[in-house]
Amino acid sequence: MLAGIDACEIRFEERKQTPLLTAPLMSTGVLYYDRAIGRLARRTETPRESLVVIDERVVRFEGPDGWQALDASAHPGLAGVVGGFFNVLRGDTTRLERSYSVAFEPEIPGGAPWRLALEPRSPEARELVRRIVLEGRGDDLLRLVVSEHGGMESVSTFRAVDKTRRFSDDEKQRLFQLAPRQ
Amino acid sequence: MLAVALLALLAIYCARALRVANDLSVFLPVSADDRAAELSRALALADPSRVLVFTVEAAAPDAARDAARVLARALAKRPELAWAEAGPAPDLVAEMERLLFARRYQLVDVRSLAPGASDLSDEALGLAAARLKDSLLTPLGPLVSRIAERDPLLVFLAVLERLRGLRIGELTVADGQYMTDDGRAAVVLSSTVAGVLDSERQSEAIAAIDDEIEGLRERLPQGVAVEYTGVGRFAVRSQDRMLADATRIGVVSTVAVLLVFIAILGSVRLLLASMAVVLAGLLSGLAAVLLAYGQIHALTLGIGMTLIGVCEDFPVHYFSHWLAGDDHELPRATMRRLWPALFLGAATTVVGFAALGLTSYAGLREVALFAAAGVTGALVVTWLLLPPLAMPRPSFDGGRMLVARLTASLGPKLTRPAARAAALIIVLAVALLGGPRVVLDRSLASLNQLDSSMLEADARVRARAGMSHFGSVVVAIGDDDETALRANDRVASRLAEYVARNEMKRPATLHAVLPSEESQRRSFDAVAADASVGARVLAAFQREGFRSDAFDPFLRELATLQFDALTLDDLRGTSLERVAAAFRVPVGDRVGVLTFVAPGTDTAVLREALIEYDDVVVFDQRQAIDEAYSGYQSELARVLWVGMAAVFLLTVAQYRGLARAIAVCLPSVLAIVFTICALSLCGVALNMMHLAALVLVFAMGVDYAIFFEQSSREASEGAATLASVAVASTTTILGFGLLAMSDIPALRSIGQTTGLGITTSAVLALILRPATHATDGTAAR
Repeated sequence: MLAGIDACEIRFEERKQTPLLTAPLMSTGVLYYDRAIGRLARRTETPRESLVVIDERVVRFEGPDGWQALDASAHPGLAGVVGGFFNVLRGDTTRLERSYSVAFEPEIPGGAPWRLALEPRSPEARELVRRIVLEGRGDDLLRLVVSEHGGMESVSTFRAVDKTRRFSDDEKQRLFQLAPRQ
Repeated sequence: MLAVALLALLAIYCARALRVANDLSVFLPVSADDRAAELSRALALADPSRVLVFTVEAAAPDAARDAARVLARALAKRPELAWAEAGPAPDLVAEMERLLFARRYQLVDVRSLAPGASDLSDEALGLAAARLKDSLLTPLGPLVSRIAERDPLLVFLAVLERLRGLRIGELTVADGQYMTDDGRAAVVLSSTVAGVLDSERQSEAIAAIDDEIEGLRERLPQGVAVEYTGVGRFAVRSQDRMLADATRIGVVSTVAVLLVFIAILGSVRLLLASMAVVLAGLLSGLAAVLLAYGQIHALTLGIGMTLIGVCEDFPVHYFSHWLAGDDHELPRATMRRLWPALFLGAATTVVGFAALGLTSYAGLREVALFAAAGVTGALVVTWLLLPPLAMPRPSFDGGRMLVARLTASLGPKLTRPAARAAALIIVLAVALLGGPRVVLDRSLASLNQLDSSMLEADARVRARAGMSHFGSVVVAIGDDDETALRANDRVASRLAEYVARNEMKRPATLHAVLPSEESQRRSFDAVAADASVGARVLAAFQREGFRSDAFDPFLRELATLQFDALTLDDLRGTSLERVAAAFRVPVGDRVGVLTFVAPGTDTAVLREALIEYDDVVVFDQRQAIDEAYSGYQSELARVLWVGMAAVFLLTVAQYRGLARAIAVCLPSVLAIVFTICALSLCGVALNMMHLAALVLVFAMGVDYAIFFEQSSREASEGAATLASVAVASTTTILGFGLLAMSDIPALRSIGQTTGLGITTSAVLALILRPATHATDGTAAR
């Protein structure tokens, strides 16, 4: 379903429930994905502007000293979670099933959307994420539910999906933090 | 008998004491600066230079990953390899948590965590609370929420982020295995036990790897393509090529020389006697080096054996004269008659080699000792052994007659005034045309032409695996680990400023995980010495919407915080041990901590950045070797002058006059000028081997003029000398000149110079003989 998408832009709304906070965290923003460069960017607009760029190796985010990067490969759990997302985006079921136990319920025409439930196989990844559920219709992603460690759960809903989006060189540098071409 | 006893004694001593070294560091150019020399050697032996990178490609990525695991397991079992891995340790994070979580306040200064803050003020803590809240909304959220109750300031995340600073390359990890960026091939890393300069053990390691790759191909019939690279592989290939080339040329030249000898001498007995002289040279040289150094380097043996070829000139000269001489003259009488010339010829050669020994290049000194002692030994055996073996005269003289006829016909023509003028005009023309084009090649790379297919594979494998060669290295030096780490702290701090300003790429530094104990204490005290931190963190985070009891584990830990310095000892037995070892090198009896700077970083900028630190050295291995090499070149140019002056003084002393000394030295001086300019005219840039070989050209070339000088006083000797010089120069050219056909630039340089130089010396010695002789009043009398 998602394998045919080369690049896209999706608006999201996220509601995150965590025992650390007295109230749920709400955020809105835009996701950008470009298969060719293998990066996913998440630009949060509210409550604060921020940008996180991830690929299978590194999670980049703005830190106190400018851009910082966390090596996902140094953290197998994080690498498993991040890698899982990319395998879903690429439609690489072989690698996805290697890291997750996968349960898929197909879409019922005129009824329930398709539902993909993923549970990490590795103990390191399970330390971080218990379960990921994606829902959609056709190749449109509608909802993402991530149940995390310690009772935290986030629910993201997606709209205004633009699957025809193509990124200019300038946007690739700005949104995906790609080094300028020499 | 005495000669045979001497040979036997030398042979017994050499057999008992023989110890051949293979450590190429003796032949590595080192700076005259002791510290730079030590660093050069330390870095050549350092762990990163031993690392080998493999790419494993199969029909499908999964098959490649499986094959990579099989290969890594097989390699890890080989005793020649220290380790091999197809991916990071599976329990890396758990290990890092055990090792680093409790020490996180020591490794990262919390005052630098809040954006734009440099203290732990309430405002800074407010920013940290906002940061935690933001982080929960990012893809890092799952990781953050797991540690937030114990680490609300996210200090451990900063520690993990810093681990990237240890990476010398940028490997991609997918599903727990190293992969190429395109995801098509798996990557394996390994390291040899031996340093790259230990050529013998490196050869064993490369053979073991090739075995395992072959085994892998047999086990996986569907096909697997493995490419690998590493500094050691280049070293082994270079050595193999050099040995193969030297052997090939050696066999050809030996056969050719033997054929010339047998044709000229017309007797197997005389041939064996001549070979005994060369053998004496070899054994004498070997014994001298073993006595002086306790061992001999394989390269010294190789180069020295070639140089010893010059000893063939002694039997050639002696037998040529004896066979052409009066039937009634006894062999010993011929030897006595020739001895002054033989002695002076040998002495000039020994002086030339001794001059080479004045260089600071350890490898060349060893070669010089070998050759000088060898020539001396050969001369002694020439005196002792050849006369007793000379009788009876061989009946076959076809070859000798042919040479005699040729030289008799050519000799007079070549000594005509017109020929002399033509020779001088040619030398002058070549000097005028080639002189302005003389270029010194000051890069060592010109002597070490690497296999182009291996270079391509190296570039391909490293690019795919994201493991580029590092550029300059910064070495922080201290008397012990702690003082070296303190110097390294200063390096990391200064370079971070450049990285923040985008003036430099992130270097790989041990500071990322192991600051000095002093620095750890300072960071720790920023938290531990402030009793109000806990309460202020709680208040700031509550203001941002966090629950009042959310961080109880953090507060409990804060109340019992203890300083526990992280040291190199703590890293032993962990995944970080090997990583840390790559950053630490012994520098003499001190300790050096390395920082690997990204390729392309301007060394001058780096030096400027660190100029104020006395205990820090910016080191560019290639630049240092080229500088040292360039120093050797200048030194060799001086050695050439010293050698020429010494040979000249020796001839002045022997002839007790300037005129005859000038006469015998002039052909070789002109030959050197001609050789330098002719090579330059052909577009050859002169490297160290050309210069070293010029010293030999002079020392050996003078011999021919000396032989002519001696024979010029006896009319009957002219033809024999002409024949002996013709044969001697032919065998020398066959011995040395064939090296000019070598694929190895170093051997080719020696061959070009000696081949051209010796031939020119011999021809000019012949052509200029009457002219030079005419200047000598003594001879005229």
